[in-house]
Amino acid sequence: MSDAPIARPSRSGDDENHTTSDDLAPTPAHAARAFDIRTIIGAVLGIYGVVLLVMGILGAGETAGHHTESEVNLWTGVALTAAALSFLLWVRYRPLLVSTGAEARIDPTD
Amino acid sequence: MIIAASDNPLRLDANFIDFGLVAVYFIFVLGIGWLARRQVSSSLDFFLSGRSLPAWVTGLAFISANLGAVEIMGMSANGAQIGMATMHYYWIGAVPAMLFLGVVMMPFYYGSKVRSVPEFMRRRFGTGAHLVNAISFAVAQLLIAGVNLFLLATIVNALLGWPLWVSLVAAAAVVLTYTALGGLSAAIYNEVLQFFVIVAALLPLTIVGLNRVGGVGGLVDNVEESFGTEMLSSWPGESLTGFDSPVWSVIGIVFGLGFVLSFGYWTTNFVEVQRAMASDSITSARTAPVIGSFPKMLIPFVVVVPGIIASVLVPEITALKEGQGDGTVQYNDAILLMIRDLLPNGMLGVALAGLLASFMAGMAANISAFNTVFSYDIWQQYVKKDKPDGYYTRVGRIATIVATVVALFTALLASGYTNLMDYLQTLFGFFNAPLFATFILGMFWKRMTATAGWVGLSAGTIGAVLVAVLSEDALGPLSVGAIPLSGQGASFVAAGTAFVVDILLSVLVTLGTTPKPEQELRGLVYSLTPKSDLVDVAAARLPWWRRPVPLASVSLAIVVGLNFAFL
Repeated sequence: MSDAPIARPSRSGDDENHTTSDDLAPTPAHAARAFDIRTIIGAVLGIYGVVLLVMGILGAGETAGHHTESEVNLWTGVALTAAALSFLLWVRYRPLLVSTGAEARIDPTD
Repeated sequence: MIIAASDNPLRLDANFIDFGLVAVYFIFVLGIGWLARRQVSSSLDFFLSGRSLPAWVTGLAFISANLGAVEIMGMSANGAQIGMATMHYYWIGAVPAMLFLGVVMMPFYYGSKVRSVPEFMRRRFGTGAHLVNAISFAVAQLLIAGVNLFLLATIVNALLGWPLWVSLVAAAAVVLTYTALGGLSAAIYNEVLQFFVIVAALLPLTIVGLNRVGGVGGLVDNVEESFGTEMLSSWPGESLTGFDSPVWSVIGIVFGLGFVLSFGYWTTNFVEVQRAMASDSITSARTAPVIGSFPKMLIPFVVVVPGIIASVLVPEITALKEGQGDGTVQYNDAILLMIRDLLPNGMLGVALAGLLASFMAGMAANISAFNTVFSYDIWQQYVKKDKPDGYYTRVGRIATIVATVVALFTALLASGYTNLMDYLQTLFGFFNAPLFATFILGMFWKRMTATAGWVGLSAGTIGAVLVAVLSEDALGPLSVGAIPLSGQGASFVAAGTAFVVDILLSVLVTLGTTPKPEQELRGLVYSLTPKSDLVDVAAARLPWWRRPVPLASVSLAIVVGLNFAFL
């Protein structure tokens, strides 16, 4: 339950990231990866980026008078999505190395 | 400070998407607390993240812990009121001290394996100085946590119209949940996340603001036309110090702010040092404040500059500057008015999340430092000494709960103070300026005695209080106005007095008392510590940008350049 809000967005936001966690490391490290702060930052920025991007695109057509306003959302959305992707790529290419002791602590079934 | 009314000028037009973005943030904040809890298996995990975090995480947490409510609102307020001179709080008043901490002092803190700054004090000077330090620090943290909480509640009240008590209790509950669950790790991870959300909110705000006033050139023209050129030059900064003489103003900024106040704050304040101490090696611990110094020197461009933009772009702030404010808006509201005027729905949600995040992270930083000092330095040292480790983790969790409740009441108390910057600076002057004097003398002079430690510290603090009482307004109604100093200038002089009194008395008392035996001072005093205890042998093989000293040199060069660029 507690893993859900952390892990889910990074998967929906970036499919590549999900698959690599299985490619690069054995399963215990996957549990650790869910609590890599970079994944969490990537997920939050990714959600914000996509929401703003959508608002920017939808708003651009509607209100001509507030043209600059939807541009703010649009460009911030682009920047945040790019930032989110770079965090997730960072996680992918420099995965967190977790000692067995730490895995044992993260893994328990609760 | 801000009255709840439907026609409040700060009221934001937030919609369900904005609230949704805020909700997403809260889910992640609590989720981090929940996940971090699983990493807590000893008291060191709870209070110091098991000394396991990489330098970039602790470095960002290092500045993020200080990027709270007071910082963002207070510094943009200063930007609107006095302009570019506010940059001194960063380039003079933070970066040099952060570099000094990383290069010179961190090896002693990390190398001696102490668990807190007061614990260093105890090992170096014994229990007298330790008690003064631990108790004054713990009390100050509760006060500041309360101030943060109060600000959060008033802002939420103004922006969204929620009653004060609702946001007070809600924010306290969130902070309590994640700090009690995950300890320092949860606080640090949330600080790092907060840093990015704050930047995501403030950077677009600044760019849009600049765009509205016609770019940098337009801003300069507008400000010069309305308020003159003084607002756009950082030196000599009379508007900051309140001194009439430009020479004394420069001396006040360099020595008062740049040396005494800032070194006192950044190098001995456990809220900051604790973050670096959570690093995974002595090299990481030293590099953390150095890494933090880079974003620290850039933050004012998205905090102070929006304040300056507000002075020409937001009609209420312009009126305030021309002395025609109607009392509904204050300088502290500058950044909020910018958000109201410039950000559309969507970005508004990001800004709200960022603001709430910074309020909560500020409070969580105070509480996580408080519970460590309370549990290790007060409870374990003086109340229950030889309990199993798990007992102290429990004490820490209970201390977190008690601290949050106390902060709630402090928040109500804080409503009496309007100029929060002055109030906090004054507090730092009392507690931190003499601390730095005692620490630096104690680290480099092996003869300095335990008695000198507590005498210097107490006398320095009393000296600062005395100056504040004699000044015109440093302590509000308590000040009698016997010496013609006010505002920041009074804080600088109070801190300077504390520093000088501390050094003088420490030297005098040392000469008349017996020093500690040398073998007890290994790791604590420079001349008695083998070089191998202070540096990591493996560090020499790292590339230059991962070593503290070369990186600090680059940082110093850039900050000197910035000072000249915005002379």
